[in-house]
Amino acid sequence: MRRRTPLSRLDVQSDLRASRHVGVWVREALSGHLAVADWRMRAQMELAVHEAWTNIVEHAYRDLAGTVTVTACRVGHDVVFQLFDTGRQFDPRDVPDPVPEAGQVGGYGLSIMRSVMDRITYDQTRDGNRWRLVKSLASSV
Amino acid sequence: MHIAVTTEEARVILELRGRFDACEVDEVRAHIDAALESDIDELVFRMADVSFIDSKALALLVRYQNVCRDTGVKLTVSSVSQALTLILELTKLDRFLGLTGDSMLAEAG
Repeated sequence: MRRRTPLSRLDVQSDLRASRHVGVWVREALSGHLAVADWRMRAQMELAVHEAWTNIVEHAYRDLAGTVTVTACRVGHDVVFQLFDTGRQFDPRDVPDPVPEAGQVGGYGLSIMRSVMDRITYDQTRDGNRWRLVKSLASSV
Repeated sequence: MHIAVTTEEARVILELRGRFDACEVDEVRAHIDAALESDIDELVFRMADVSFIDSKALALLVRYQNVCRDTGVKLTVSSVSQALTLILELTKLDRFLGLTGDSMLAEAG
């Protein structure tokens, strides 16, 4: 059994302007868990959480007010971010990868999340929807 | 985010600084629309000081690259930050937006 250590939790309203708080929160949650020079890994995780957050605000809570809870924990060499909402359900399988050479305008958010994280899952729980984003820090520690 | 607009004859340069995300898309779009209302040949984005960029901001650039190609305006991104390099690598949009790997490596910083 790998050791699980909670790092931080953020409860924030589903307002796009709050994304600034999410970015700061991600950087603070990762403080002390990444090599100082590993800006790329830190930026990748901030971007992935931001994209998941934006997806929730724009889709799950479109025309709705709600709260998004974001948590971070360390499990062995992995960092696990989870985002919880009680808005509309969303099926990532409905979103195909974009075709950049065709000038496709949308659909990049999920593709980015898939690219930078080692695992992404989305499921519906009894209490709402849950994104889980996992990144191994094995190369950074 | 800070936006500086410079007009040089038939070329408009938009220099973006700071965080460019979904919250800033409407403001940047307004500047682009204003530039395209005038009779220009080229629209240049300078983004060496963009500290964060997300998929919504990137989608705006793609949308206007499509518009510019349809209307005969050359859209270029002349300088990029580390944050932009990261997302262009991930999305493989560097070529579509007129950037080569060499220029990204040379100008990122």
